Amino acid sequence: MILTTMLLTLALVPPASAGADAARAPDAASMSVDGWRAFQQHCLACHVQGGSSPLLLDTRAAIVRKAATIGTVLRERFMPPWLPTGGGPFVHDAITDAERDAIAAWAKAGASGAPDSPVAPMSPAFGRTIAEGWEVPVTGIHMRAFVQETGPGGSTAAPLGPFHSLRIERASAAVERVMLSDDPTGSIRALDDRDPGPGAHTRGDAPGSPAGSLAMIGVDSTFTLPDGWVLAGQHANLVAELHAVGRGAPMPATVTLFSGPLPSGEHRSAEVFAAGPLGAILRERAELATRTDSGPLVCDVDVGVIGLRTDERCTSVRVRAIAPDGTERILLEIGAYREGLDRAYRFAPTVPLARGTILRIDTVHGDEVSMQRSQPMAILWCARRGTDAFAPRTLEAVEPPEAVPADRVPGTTPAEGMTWFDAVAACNARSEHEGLAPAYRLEHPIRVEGRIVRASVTRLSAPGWRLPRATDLVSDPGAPADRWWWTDDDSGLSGFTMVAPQGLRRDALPPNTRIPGVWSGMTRPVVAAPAK
Amino acid sequence: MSTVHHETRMAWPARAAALACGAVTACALVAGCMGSGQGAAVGSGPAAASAATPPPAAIPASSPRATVWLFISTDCPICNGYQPEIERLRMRFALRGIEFVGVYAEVPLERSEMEAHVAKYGMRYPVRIDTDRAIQQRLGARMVPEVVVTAGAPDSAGNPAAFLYRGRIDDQWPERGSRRPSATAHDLERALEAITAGQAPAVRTTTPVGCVL
Repeated sequence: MILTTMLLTLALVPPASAGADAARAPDAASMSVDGWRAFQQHCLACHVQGGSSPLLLDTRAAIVRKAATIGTVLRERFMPPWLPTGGGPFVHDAITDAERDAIAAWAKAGASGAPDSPVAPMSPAFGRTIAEGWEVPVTGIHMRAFVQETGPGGSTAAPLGPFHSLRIERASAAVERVMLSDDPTGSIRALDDRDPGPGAHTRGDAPGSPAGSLAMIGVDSTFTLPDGWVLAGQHANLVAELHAVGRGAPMPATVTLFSGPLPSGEHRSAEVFAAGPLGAILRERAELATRTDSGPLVCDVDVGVIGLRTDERCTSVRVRAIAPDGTERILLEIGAYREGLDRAYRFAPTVPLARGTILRIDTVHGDEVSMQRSQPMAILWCARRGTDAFAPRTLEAVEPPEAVPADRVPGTTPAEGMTWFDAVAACNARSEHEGLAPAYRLEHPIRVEGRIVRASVTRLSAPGWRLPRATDLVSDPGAPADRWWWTDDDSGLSGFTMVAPQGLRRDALPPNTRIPGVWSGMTRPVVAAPAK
Repeated sequence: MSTVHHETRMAWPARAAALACGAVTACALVAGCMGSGQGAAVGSGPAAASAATPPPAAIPASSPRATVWLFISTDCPICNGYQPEIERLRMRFALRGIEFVGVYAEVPLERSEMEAHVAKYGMRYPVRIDTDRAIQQRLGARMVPEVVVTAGAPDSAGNPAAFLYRGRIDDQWPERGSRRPSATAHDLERALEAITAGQAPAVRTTTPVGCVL
């Protein structure tokens, strides 16, 4: 009853902003704005064939039919979509109130100047096509990853190559978001092979998800690094993870990818830091909120772009950087989150973060189920400070480390392709060799080519050898640089994470992954504290 | 034009407003816009109806028992996304005396555009273009997609007393730009279940989400 009364009261009194908007007659400023020009600048890029919006406003008739809606969404500031209410500073071509009024008035008056025939796509049809053959079903929300093989034995498509900016065009607006990544381990390829139909089903930040390490393209259709920055994209297998929604009729999912020109002269090399559940040092859930703290940055960086991925029923998001001295800075805050309007946000100027800084992601959800399933991830495209060399790091370039002598690690051999289960077994073997109670119970192992690819693992409170935590590695000045490690946090949250201590990237990999460059000695087990 | 005829051509919120005055008028209009909750638990008798919601119409015992007016658009993504759900409901209730009529409410619209839209989305119910917005004004639709359910055949829709349900199809879109993976409240389906059982829907008004007419 109280709620009803409040609602009635609120509804009877127009909101201040709505009242202000309604009362604001076209003033001199809006009268001087060309509605068609403002529409082209702020609306048309998305509302044409190949754009991100499912609503086409590329003819005069379509605009006139939608004049009432155009006026409403502009007045309510729902459009043009710009979600951040904090963080930044971001590159953003903000629309003015005068332009809002001018567009609404122009559409209502008949949209003079708009073409009678659909506006042509933004560019001729050339470029790299992805996800051909997949038709987005008529209903539901779908995530699929497509691998475009570019290495030996793959297709004839050229590698993506280093890039500064990328743009996609859509065959239909059923595709809301594209995450571009690579597939160094072939895990997505393998997933695709097992999964019937085109592409492989994926779901967010889970083992097998590429998790977007190259670019994230959403409602803006473009991904651009800061001026002078370049990201190495010459990877063996390009992965495009598509987030698509059913639009009532079968629609093609194909997207065409364009790479913009590289900057001339000196450039900075960009890397990715993915802060999410895998590799996290803290995860908390309370009421309808979640908190995820990433592992620390391993060097000083400048952050150029931030991307975000969470789920449909997330209602608000805040991403903070917490420096080692406790200083906090909000990188991105969205008070009313809407997944369908996701995009990557480019900082200008770039944001400096110190070594040891962690990323804290706070989300609030509309319901309990959404909160429990939430796997929020913030992706930062960074450049190391003080490093200008453009030296893309590949797994092939990783030198095998100095392995722990085999006689010190009974049961293991210094061979490549060690799975996480192998690493656990190595810890137990070493514990047994030294007369310590094992820190793991490893049961029902299944081996393929000598490697354990499946087992049941239980963590025990015992003083034996165990795998390091991600934080152990990045805080260890003696840890070798640029190498990959299997880790195991107490919470188990990063049990399947591989970490290169001096690399920014965190990879979510299945525990049975066999990755070149991982040697038995790299498990670097540590002695657990005796159980109290 | 007689007074009676004039009233029968008014949308039910307007009629409610005309019957009320002062603050009561405002409350009536607001309640009509508030959506689920406001019109809930309406009984079958006139005394149980709120000031804004007219008493539920008598539901004919034989077909057609009710007509579902679907206010749609060729352009609205939310409308188009609902077409599979509309077809599911049509299949379920067609043999139980419920007729579906699609009304293209965003005009001007060429007939060829309408036919192409019908073919693309596989729509299997009769449609019409509301060229002069007469149907929209008569039934008081404000959005697409919005449904208005009236008792009896489509030609009885001119009588405001025929009103049974208005609002959204379900709650998949809690607000513009926010979408659930799947609906949790199937308002139209619940209303049609009640109607085919010969009862007034428990929830008779909900708030639609979509494009503004």
